[in-house]
Amino acid sequence: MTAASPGIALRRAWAERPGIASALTTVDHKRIGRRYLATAMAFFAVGGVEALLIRVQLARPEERLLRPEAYDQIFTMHGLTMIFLFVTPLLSGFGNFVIPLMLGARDMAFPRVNALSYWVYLAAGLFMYTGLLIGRAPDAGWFSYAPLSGPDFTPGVNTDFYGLGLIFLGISTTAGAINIIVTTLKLRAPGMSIDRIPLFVWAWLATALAIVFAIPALTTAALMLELERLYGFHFFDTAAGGDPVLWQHLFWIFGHPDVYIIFLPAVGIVSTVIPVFSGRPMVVHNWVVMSTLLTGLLGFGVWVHHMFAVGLPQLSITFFAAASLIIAVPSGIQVFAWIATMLTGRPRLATPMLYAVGFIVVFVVGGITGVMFAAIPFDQQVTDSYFVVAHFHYVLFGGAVFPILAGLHHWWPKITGRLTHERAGAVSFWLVFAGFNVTFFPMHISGLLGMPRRVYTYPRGMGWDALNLISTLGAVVLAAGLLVVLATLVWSLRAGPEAGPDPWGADTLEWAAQSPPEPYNFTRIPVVRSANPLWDPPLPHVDDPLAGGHRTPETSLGEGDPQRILRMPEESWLPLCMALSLAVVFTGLITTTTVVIVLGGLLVGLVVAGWARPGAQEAPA
Amino acid sequence: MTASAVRAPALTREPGWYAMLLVIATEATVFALLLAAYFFLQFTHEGAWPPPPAEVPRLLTPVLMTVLLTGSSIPAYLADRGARRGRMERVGVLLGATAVLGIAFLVLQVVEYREKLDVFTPRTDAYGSAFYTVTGLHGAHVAFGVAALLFVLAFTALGRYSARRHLAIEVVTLYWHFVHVVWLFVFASLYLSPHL
Repeated sequence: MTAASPGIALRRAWAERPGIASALTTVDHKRIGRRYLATAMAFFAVGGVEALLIRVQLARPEERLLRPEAYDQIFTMHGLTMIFLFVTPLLSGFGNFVIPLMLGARDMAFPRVNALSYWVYLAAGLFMYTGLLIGRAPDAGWFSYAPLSGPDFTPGVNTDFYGLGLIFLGISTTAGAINIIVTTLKLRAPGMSIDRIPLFVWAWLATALAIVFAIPALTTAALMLELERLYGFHFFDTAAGGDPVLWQHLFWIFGHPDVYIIFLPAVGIVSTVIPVFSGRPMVVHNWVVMSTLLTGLLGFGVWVHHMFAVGLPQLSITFFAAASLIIAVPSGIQVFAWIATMLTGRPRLATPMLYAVGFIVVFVVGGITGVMFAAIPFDQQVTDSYFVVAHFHYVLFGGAVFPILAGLHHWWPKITGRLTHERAGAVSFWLVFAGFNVTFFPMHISGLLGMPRRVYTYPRGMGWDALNLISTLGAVVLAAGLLVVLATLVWSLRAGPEAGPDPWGADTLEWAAQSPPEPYNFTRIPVVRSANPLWDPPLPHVDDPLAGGHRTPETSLGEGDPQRILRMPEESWLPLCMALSLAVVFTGLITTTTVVIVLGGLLVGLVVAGWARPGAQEAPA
Repeated sequence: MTASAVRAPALTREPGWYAMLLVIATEATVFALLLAAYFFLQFTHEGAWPPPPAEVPRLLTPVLMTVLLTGSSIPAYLADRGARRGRMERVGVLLGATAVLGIAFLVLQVVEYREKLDVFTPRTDAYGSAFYTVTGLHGAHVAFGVAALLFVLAFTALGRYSARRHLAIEVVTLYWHFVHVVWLFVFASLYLSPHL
């Protein structure tokens, strides 16, 4: 390649020295992305073990393996882990790794904030798990309804790990979302006007916008809960003029958009995989973009459908039922767009495509039961039963884990430079697909037969015994499938064939970089002429990197016209120090030790000052 | 590349400015939800609002606070404009004036709290909890804003910002406008609405 000399100069400007110091100070979006993926996978394993404990406990009636108190902690931590510590961070891992590459940028807009997001995620995850290690994990369910979660009915530190942990984690999620939004709006390669943004990036943009407006509801609710629990305030306590329904509103104003925060990036993976493995651009690309954005928006208008059984006025719940029906429309548009893309293309059933197609099947089932809940009388019948558990596992496991496994196999060659074993991939898919359905489909029936959720055991002779045993056997198959996935990936790392830059013949810019990509991503910043840049005829070769040194171009919001060259920050200790200082604050809060809170606050202030100090960031380039 | 793309760098906002806009969006949502919670508690409450021992709030001090904070937005705006146009010599004074008005606001808030805490506290009832949570969180934002203003003021005085490099000034003044606008909503909800 004749571009050797700019490549060497870029490598000098971007390479981070190997070693422990560099591991703690890195701001490279690819290293941070890999960390997100690995950490989230570890939490997935822990959450999976919790799920298996639940299934073993429920395999037969009157089981006494777990005491009720332990069961409450396990199922609460299972929900919290999967939703907050696995799915969203894992999708953030893909976002971190892939988005700058897809956009043709050299890094995220705020590399140090990116590092901060990761460290805070790790710290908050460990903070929440401290509760389990000392046997005092949150035990009031993942939505911790007041008044159960209040100081009277759940004394002790358990629920404080929930309230404070979620506030802590929200910092990471929000910072990450803002980073993704600004990166998408300002760091796109020249020529990437908004109609040429890849679908995965669109999906993450819609998600990030939803995060910016949804996480505050969770933070506000958790703040009120903790003020009530730790400092004797009254928000949800009826005796002092409060109202527990207020918690439910705030929680679900966050909680329903969060379903789409989980689901949209996963859908973005599917919209990436299907065109690549169908060998053609997405049918009705712009409609899929609009559906994604509309879903993110409508997600804020349906929260009350989680509260149909509360006793709210008929008129208002009818409104929310209608809104919940409407939200099926954009999802339907996407499903038909995927099917049309496959029908009009030449589908190749490689592992990522298998998981993507499996997702469509499972997601349609979850979507249908979702629409059923919009029928208020039906919802009131099955609320709090295993039917709901079945529904949300079809939507969350089906709607997020299948796409995640598609994305993992799809981008694995880019991340590691090695291919995975196709036959093993197919075996893992069929095990996961079968195990998933055998686990969760019977729950629809046990729910309709009246089995309530969150019970640690059940009496014999309710007609639930066989169904629960089937679910447990399915969980074993599912776990086996996931172990095959793990084995496939480990084998690929050790013995997988070299992938080369573009093993799939894909259309988006990450496949123009090396596998794994150089620290600076691209020797020459690509210039984009369509929504499928790698399928365009190549441009004449130019040696000029467009942005040399430790820099990346900034482009305009709409058209992607070049505006200026941004100087990017070097490695830094500040993100780690900030996360540790915040951990001090939250340790002080959970132990209600004012000295520690003040000390942590001072540390945070110091780090903020060090961060904002006009130095490298502000000095003339 | 179109003509609009090659405008002077000082006139297009940097990525950091957009990030602050998004931080403001997320924080504004927190305040919107807290105020919504306040009204939720009011509308599910039977009897007088605010519930005794609290009384309908007197307006003199909060009106003064409103005047101070609204006034403080003017030098903040001029500081941002001055920095973007490269007139750094006036920026320090303008940032200082903004900070002084912010400090005066906080002093009045302390005065108000001292009076109110004799009557009701955050632990008295849901009204007290909501009142002190909203005003306290806002006050914390003002205090943080004052600290940030003094921070950029110090580096302005040291000559560390220039017409080309002054993102911190743009970001801090933008944040300050947000703190001001939130107060207008807090004032209308907690102080004016009980008079209706």
